[in-house]
Amino acid sequence: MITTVLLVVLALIVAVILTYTARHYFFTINRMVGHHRQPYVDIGVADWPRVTVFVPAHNEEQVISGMLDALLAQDYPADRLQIVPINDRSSDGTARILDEYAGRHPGRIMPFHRQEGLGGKAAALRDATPRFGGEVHLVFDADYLPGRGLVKQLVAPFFDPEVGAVMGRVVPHNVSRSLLTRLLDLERAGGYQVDQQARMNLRLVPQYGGTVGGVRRAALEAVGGWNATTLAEDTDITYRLLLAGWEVVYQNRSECYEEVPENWPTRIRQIMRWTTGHNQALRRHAIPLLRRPHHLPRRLVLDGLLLLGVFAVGPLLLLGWAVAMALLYMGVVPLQGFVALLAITAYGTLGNFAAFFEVATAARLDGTLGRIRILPFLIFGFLVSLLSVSRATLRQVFLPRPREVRTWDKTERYRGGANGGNGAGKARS
Amino acid sequence: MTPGLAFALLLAGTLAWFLLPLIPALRELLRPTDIMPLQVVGRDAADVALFARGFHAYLGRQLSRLPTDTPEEQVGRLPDGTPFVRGRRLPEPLVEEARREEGLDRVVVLLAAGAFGGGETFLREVYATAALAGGPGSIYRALLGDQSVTLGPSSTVLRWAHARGELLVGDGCLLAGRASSDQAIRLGAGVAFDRLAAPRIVVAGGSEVPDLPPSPAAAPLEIPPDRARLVGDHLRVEGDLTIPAGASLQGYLVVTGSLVIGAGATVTGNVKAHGDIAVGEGAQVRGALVARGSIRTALRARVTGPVVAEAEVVFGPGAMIGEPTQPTSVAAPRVELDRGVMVHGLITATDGGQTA
Repeated sequence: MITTVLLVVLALIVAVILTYTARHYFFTINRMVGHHRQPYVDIGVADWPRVTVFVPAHNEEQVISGMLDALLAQDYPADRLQIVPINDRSSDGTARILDEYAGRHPGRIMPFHRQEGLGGKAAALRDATPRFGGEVHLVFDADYLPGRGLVKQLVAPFFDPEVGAVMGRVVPHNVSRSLLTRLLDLERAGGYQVDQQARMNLRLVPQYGGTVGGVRRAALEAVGGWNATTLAEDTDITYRLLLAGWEVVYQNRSECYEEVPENWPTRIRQIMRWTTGHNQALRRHAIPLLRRPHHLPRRLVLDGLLLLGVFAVGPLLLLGWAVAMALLYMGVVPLQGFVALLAITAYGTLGNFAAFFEVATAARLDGTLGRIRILPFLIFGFLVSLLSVSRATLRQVFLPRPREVRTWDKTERYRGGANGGNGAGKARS
Repeated sequence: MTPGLAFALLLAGTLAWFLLPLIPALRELLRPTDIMPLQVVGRDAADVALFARGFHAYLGRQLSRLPTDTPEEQVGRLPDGTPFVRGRRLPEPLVEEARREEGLDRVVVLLAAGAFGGGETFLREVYATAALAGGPGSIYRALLGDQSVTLGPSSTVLRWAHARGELLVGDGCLLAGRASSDQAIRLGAGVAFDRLAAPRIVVAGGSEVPDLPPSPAAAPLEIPPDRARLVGDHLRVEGDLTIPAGASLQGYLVVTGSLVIGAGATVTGNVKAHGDIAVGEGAQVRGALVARGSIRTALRARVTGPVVAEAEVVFGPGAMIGEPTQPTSVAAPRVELDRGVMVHGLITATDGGQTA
């Protein structure tokens, strides 16, 4: 009986892993030979709508000036661009810096200071957005460095009335700092250049990523605004828009620099935060997606479900290894001879390494072939992700945190030499 | 061999076997060759005149570094070694060289209004500080004019052309890359292009395009509730939709099939169709037009906002896109412009555009 149950579990896990493997290869091949779809990127001249750019900030004195300067330098009609840095109970000099900028640029920079309510980016956005107009609401993290034309590029898709959200490409700036930053540079390239763009090409579900992107205000209001009770408001809004009949589009040429974590503890915290938020979205949106609203084609439902489940693959893989070992020591060989060998080999290699082909393809598309040499080290990043995702998932399942405790699980900032001087990861609301 | 030594050898061999594929990785880790951030942020594809401005700045820097006693008319090299010729007109021997098959391999700087006879090939940039008229069948790598620039029939520009005055393009020309003007681009018949930008882009033959009688007052269109539903700020219609001739519709619209906007109809708001869009004679769209398929406009149709199609855009005779005070963008893999079409702003045809 136990053997049969374990065999069924293993077969299901292998099926899931093989599905994700096939998905990785499908996306990679699409990026190598498929049509590159970016219909809105050539809208360079237009009657631009009013835009509000939100910059949630909690103890960001090291980087907030750079972000505001970059936004002030945007090639966008100044009378249609409103910049709203959200100071969420910072205890450093962030509030002072914002007020100084507002004094120097009255009407253009309008800081929103908040001292009450839930903490965290989603809650800050939920409080701030109803107070400001603008047909389009863009969101940037405080450590980002947008180029001059980025706001125009991100607004252009909203001339399509069906577009509810837009996502640009995030490009690491501090690549040279450590092995981790170089690995994250490769991972980001694979994730955006291949994964996101393939989903755009195939009219699937590109994901709004919470920064370097934005939403149509009417769409946001139609689906009930930002969800303050999730750690992944970006994934959450992607699915609520999808279910309500809006499109999310990805623009590969709308790039923006970011700082990636330079040490492993920070990276692990980041992965665990993403896992928790993504799994919240899985729990909330999987059933509504399976019910399939009539406007959603089956391919969108399938891709949406696979995207929702990406952070469940890690724990499943670990469980699969454990079940396979248990069956081995119980003297059970699931299949016979070469078929078993083939299945185990495929499970053990392709399931792990398909993502590596994505990264290699992304490096080729970006024309940066030198950095591909460190690809073998990506296995370390993969193992750390596997364990971190599994740990976060188990903690979420067995030790759910009280809903009312919401925190700013920030990523450390490194610009200016001081490392981690913003209290990253320690703040509590 | 002792068991300990055998184990050590086995361990060393295993480690070496494991590390072998990591040698390139370890080399790259210890001696990085590619650790700069991707040089992609901030590039501005929508700025069609970017290369022209870059060349003007480059040439200004080079000319300012020439010795002060350098004569105004000169055949020589710029300080960075680039061969150039500067003068009120191109010296006859160099004209002959330009007409040979191999072409003239010099940057040309013309200081007075002038004309080429035709058939020249310029392998480097041509810069004219006054009006320039090219002859037929000439080939230019790139072309910059401080005043008007005329391209003779069947001429080719390989990279970019920019005129601070008008850019007049003769019949059968090929504008590969970018072409722009601070005033207007006038296109002859059979011109092929990739990217055009100007306050006015006009196709010849407008005087031959017939006028339309004035449209009667538009009647508001009511779409039956069983065919449409409100999604946020737009109306979503399942399947195909035809807006009858002379009707008017206000608000954002998404059609999941194809859309036909009848003759003389008016739509105020951004419009999208999952299929094709056909805009009838004299119809107006006061907003953007977006189609996953093609967009075709009939005689004297007007669109004020961006026009984006994922297959092709075909503007019929006398179509007007954008407004003098509010330029806009047209983007599609293929763009066809009929007689008398006028576009205010930017046209991008990633697979190529063509005038009738």
